[in-house]
Amino acid sequence: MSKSAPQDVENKFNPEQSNPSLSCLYRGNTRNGLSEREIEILLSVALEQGGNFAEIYWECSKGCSLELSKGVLEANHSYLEGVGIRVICEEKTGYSYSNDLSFSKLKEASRTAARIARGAQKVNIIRFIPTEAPSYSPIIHLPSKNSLQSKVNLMKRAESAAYRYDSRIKNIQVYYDEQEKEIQVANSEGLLITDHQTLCMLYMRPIVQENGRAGQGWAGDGGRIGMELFQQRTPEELAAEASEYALVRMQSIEAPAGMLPVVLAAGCGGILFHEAIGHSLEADRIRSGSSMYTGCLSQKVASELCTLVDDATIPNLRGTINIDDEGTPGQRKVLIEKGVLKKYMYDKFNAMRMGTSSTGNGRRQSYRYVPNPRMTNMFLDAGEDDTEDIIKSVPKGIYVKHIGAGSMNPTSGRFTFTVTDGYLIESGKITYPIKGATLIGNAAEILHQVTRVGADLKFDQNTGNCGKDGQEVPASTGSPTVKIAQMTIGGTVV
Amino acid sequence: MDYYTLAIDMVKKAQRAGASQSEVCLQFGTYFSLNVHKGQVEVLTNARPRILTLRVFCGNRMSFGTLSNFTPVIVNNFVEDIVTSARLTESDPFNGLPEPDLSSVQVQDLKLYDPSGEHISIDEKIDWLKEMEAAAYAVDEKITQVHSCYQEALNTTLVVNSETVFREFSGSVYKVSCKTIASSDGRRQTGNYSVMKRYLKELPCPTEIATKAAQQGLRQLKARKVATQKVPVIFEGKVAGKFWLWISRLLNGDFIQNKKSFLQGKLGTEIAKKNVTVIDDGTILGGIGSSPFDGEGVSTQKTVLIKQGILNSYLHNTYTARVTGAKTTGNALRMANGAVKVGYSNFYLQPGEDKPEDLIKSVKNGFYVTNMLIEGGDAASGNYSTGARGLWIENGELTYPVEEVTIAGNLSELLKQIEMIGNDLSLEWALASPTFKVAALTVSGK
Repeated sequence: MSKSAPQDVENKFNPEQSNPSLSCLYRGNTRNGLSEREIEILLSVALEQGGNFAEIYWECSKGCSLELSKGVLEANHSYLEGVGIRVICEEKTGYSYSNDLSFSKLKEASRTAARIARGAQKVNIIRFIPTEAPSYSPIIHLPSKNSLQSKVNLMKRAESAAYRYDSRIKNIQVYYDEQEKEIQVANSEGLLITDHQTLCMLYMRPIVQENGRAGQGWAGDGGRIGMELFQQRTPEELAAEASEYALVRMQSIEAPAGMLPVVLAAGCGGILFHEAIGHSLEADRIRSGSSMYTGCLSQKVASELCTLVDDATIPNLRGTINIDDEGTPGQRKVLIEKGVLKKYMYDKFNAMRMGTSSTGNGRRQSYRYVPNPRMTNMFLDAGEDDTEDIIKSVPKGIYVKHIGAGSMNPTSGRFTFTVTDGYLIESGKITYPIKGATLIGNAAEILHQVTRVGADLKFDQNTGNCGKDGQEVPASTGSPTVKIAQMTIGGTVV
Repeated sequence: MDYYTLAIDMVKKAQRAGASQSEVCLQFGTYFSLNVHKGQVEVLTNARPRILTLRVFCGNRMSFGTLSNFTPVIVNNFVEDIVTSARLTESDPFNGLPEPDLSSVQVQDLKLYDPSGEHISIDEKIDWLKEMEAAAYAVDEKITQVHSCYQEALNTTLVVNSETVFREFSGSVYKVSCKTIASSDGRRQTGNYSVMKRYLKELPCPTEIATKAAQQGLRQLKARKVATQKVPVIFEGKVAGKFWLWISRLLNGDFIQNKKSFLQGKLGTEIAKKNVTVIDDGTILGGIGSSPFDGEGVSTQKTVLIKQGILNSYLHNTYTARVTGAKTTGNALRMANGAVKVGYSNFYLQPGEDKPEDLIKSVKNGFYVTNMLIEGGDAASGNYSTGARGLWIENGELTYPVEEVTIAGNLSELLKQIEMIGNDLSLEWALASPTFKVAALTVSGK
């Protein structure tokens, strides 16, 4: 099919009268996405003024969030559906979106996106070849098929377990979140593909108080998984973990300030590598030259102990994707191998401009956003060192078990992270918990400062999102125990 | 689509389905954004977003939800599902709609809406950004990259509830950002400057924005590291507003009633020096943070939170006020998922008498903050830490630029250590502040 649908065909078809776009996620008629005919018309309208590429993205999601606090339960639900239409004309992107799914409004959105081209050369629309998405995350008990009550029970179990754990636990907030989403992606290159996506998580924040001192704890788990997760990681287990965390925090002393060696516990360092290094390996930053890794393929950018991977195929992790939000199947990419830079992460647009193909990293928060290159499950691969030995090797330093908020200036490479669960290492032993510490470093140097890498690769709690350019997507990170020769610690004890 | 009828009908449907009280908040409008790079449009987005949130009470039980598809079958199912969900939640005696606000039926016109952006063509907006980009490059040959962005949002917000509240207002936001990268001798630094206004004609000329963004990055190229030390710190008024985000959290009713703020239980006590007065005012004409009514339809007001060092009030919505035995301050904030939390409107430290230059002159050896980069604060303990950039002060004068350092400390101590407050308050952002000086803070460098 190569041209816009002639007028008479449109009149006979009359898409305005088709059924409302209900998905089987909601009660009512079941229809996933737009019909092939509707997509054909929308793509033609999108390319009316010219352009190299057009894409129709349909999304429907049903989510439920529960919060249990002081015995009071709050529930909220989201029923969202929308379409995002994109036109690419050389370097330019036109985008429009609509959650009014009447066909006239969708055509209007298509026309709006088309304006980016303005008389440029037009590409031919290739006939669809429907393809099937891979399936990386087996799910046994779909959250949407389980009652609201069953989830409330999980939360109540966590709440009572926390209060039973220690009488100093004064307050606990328990959260449960689930989302099921269906997407349909079609483009002028003949792609037509759909995917069903599931996410759930349970997490909690207890607070302990005693004699004017307070401490906050945290624990949680989740992923692209069903309710079976909570048989392996029970609410009681999570509550104990969170409560212990809070109790330790209450004992914390002021953190030192200055330069010290740092040991990152298995599972906690991933976020640092994701922020400090990962974003600089995304194709948009490479192409614009704002990344320090632009033009550095095949160069040594890290110590030989460092192998950095982005893998979208690991079963059930939060960042795992069967297909990205442009319809490209998720893949495993070795980005840095034994210190040498091997690969960047691409979405479709940047791959087109750079003469290569998408690596399945084109993601978007929802139909309201243009996709950009994003990570999936980013991790530093396991080494061979012994964890105990690594800690013993530090005469004075910091041991980090949990990193909270952080950010990096991609141009200067300078980054800062808050340590939410940290400890002093003195003479090779972990001693006191510390509070108020930040880790400051430079992205260009940090991977060269990795001197020991353990064999204990662990992933984070699968409850996090990656934020970039005002959009958030689910992601997870991982790392083994890692020693960094030295970093600046922002504490208060000079 | 008639959104007014939709909202009113939805409230009626919820009541018929068994709700004792219900409320719809509907927001709709237009959104336009434009990115220009190397003289060319990069991304152009244009849309008519709309989002509806429904909140339902069955006695003291509550549930809420968001919906974006308004076809009648889906609307009916959605309403029924939310009412059913409400019945399954736990009873909370503090749940419920606000008491009807009998004092003001008229919605005040706070001069928040300017649709003139719709009459400016896309080409004119593209040209404006191209001019800004050219001006940034023209500042200095060391400017190697410029990204320019224009955003325009025109919104109407509607709150309808079963207590016959029906309120709407329209607001506009025009935002321009310029991001530059300056490079020299292998060093690279960013410089950002952005402006947000309610009225299109209030946006400064493109050259002004570009020059400020470029100069920031250029200055940082010469930045030096400093040793870790405890010194007086001055926060420049234009950026100091970000700092008050932490203070707004300490005063936030949600944090207070959850016992997550160390200011809980301290009303009437002295928590800062006498020179500190902090205000939240949702009624400022044309204010970026202003609105005639809050996320629950309650009229906004001016609230003095800290009065000459004494903690006078918290920020509240109906729920947090009831929990703590206070009155709502009209600060209900509607989140994207429909939750009603507590937020700030126009939140600021009241200006003092001193000229900003005099604050600098009073410091022999200290730090002048021009950028803050991260928020890592814990309202329960008051501990905070932030990345910062700025200039070193030597013998009462601003000297060399300083590389990214960290300032860490405790907010409880900091409030008591505000020594001097400048007279230079400018309400350009919702969080605003005059320049102020803190007696001593730990600045971590090398």
